[in-house]
Amino acid sequence: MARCYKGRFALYKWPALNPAGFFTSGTGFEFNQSEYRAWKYGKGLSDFAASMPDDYQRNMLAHSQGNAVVAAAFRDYNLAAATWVITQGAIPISCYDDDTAHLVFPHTSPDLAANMGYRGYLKDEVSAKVVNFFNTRDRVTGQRWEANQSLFKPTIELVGITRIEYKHYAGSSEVRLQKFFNSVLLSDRTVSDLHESMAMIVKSRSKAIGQGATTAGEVNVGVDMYADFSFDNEHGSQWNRAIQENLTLYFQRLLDEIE
Amino acid sequence: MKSNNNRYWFIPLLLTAAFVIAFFLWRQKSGPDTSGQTSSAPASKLATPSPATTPAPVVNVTTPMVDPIYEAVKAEREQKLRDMADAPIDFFGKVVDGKGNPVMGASTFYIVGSFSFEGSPTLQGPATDAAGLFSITEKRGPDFSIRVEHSDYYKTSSADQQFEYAHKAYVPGKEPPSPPTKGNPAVFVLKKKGLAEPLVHHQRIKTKLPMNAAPVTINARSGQAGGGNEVISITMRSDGDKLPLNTFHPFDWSVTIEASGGGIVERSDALDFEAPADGYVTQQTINMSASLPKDVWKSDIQRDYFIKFGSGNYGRVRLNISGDTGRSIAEVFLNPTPGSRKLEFDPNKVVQSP
Repeated sequence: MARCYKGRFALYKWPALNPAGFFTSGTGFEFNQSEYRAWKYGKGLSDFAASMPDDYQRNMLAHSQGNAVVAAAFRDYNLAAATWVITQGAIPISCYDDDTAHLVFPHTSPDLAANMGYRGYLKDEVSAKVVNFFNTRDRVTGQRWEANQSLFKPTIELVGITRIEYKHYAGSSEVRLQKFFNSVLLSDRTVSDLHESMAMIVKSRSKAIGQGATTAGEVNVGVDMYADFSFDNEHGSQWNRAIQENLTLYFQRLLDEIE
Repeated sequence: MKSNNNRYWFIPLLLTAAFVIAFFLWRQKSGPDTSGQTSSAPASKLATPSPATTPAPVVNVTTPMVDPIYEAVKAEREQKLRDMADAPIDFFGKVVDGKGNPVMGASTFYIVGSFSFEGSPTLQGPATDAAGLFSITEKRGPDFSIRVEHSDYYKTSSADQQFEYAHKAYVPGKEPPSPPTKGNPAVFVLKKKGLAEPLVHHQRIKTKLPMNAAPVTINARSGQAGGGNEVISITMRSDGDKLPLNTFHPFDWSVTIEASGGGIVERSDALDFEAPADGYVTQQTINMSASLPKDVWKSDIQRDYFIKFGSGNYGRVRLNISGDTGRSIAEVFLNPTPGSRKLEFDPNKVVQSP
């Protein structure tokens, strides 16, 4: 007999730009800007959750970059929830698990969150059971996300007649934002907001959590979407497939985790 | 003359006003946009000390104008991306059995990677030849996924592999394996299936374990709770039910698994289908103390066991147990032939429990 979710359901959206087109602009600006917004909208999520009756168990499910919203809500805005289900998460493994074994890319931008990087961002900051539905076949959290980290950071973009250019200097944890009109420097400031630094400047040295088959740290349970549910290399099998196509096992496991 | 000069006194004023308005409009266009920022987080967590107010990143992308530095960076990044997406792929593989013998006639299925959100289609490749060899060449993409299958064999973990073809700079000592070549093909291992005997099979027995050490029993033959001499018993002690609502942190819990009148032994190889003749223990207890290191403590466990029941029958069980909810999910196999240790499963040879 089919099981159903018994409980109330709420949806939280944040104004992401079009991440699907994050390569079309040629600079990755949309993806990075969307990540920046995601971190900031953690506040709204936390407030929204707090506005709900406090005698309900809260289970969070976030897909892809939406996990930046939930991550910031827990770390920076005091979200309280029982469970956080990550599906194909598009933020670094090193946010959850600061083990150096996950550092597989040689980027030189700041690494530790204490130095404006990703690693350890969530260490001891999540008061929920974290269940990571990963899919190592998913190319969006794989090659595509990694290409964005590698090629399109630090962010550079032309806005009107102003060129905005994020920068970091090898060997330094200082990150900066400069604005130019052609070669004329209009403004120059140190980036002191961790959300801005992560989204716009820092290249993750680890893979995305959606690729994290062996993640520990803040992650309590790992679920292999390829081995267990035959999800393949698409980024949203659970949204795109018909219910008859191997989704039963996925939803069954999801319900197991949030009951 | 003097009167003519006085007539145009307002022209410099108009020019100045126009310049001010133009400058103001330009600043509006390139100024910070706070639509992506709802509030500031606690300074201690998000910010390093900065005397200046931190404006949000610019977001309103308007019609770009020509900026040679921007255009150069953009062109360079786009070219690198194209190079990644268009990396040449020539793949060579070999399929062998557990003893290294070539497997002929294995089917191959591959995916040429792309940056598409929808993924790329799975395509059928050539079957392996008498030497177990196959090749797939003249493809282009950032990566290549390949799996091999044969109806007479089980897939091992190496039967499904991915290879990176785009340039990927890993840290020294962690370089990914070089793409296979004709002289050094990727090796895929399949394991020959044996002769499966009829088994009793219960795919999903879900129970709620009390956290006060009251045992729950599963009859391996019926798949129901109950007694007998073919029973798996699970006992849990857990402080998971003491966690405040919407809070989670490590807590003390333990679980004991035993077989009535017999014993259990952990099964480490998912393709090992023959229960050992000896080495059984009456029970196994898994302790998860809240004081364990964070990477050692687990809220959930999964274990596979061979079981020797008091009836003289053998079986195996895969258990998935959650310490915080008491949820237990078991998949159970039982060979109804007394004394037979063969536990290979064929869905076409399922024995209905009496």
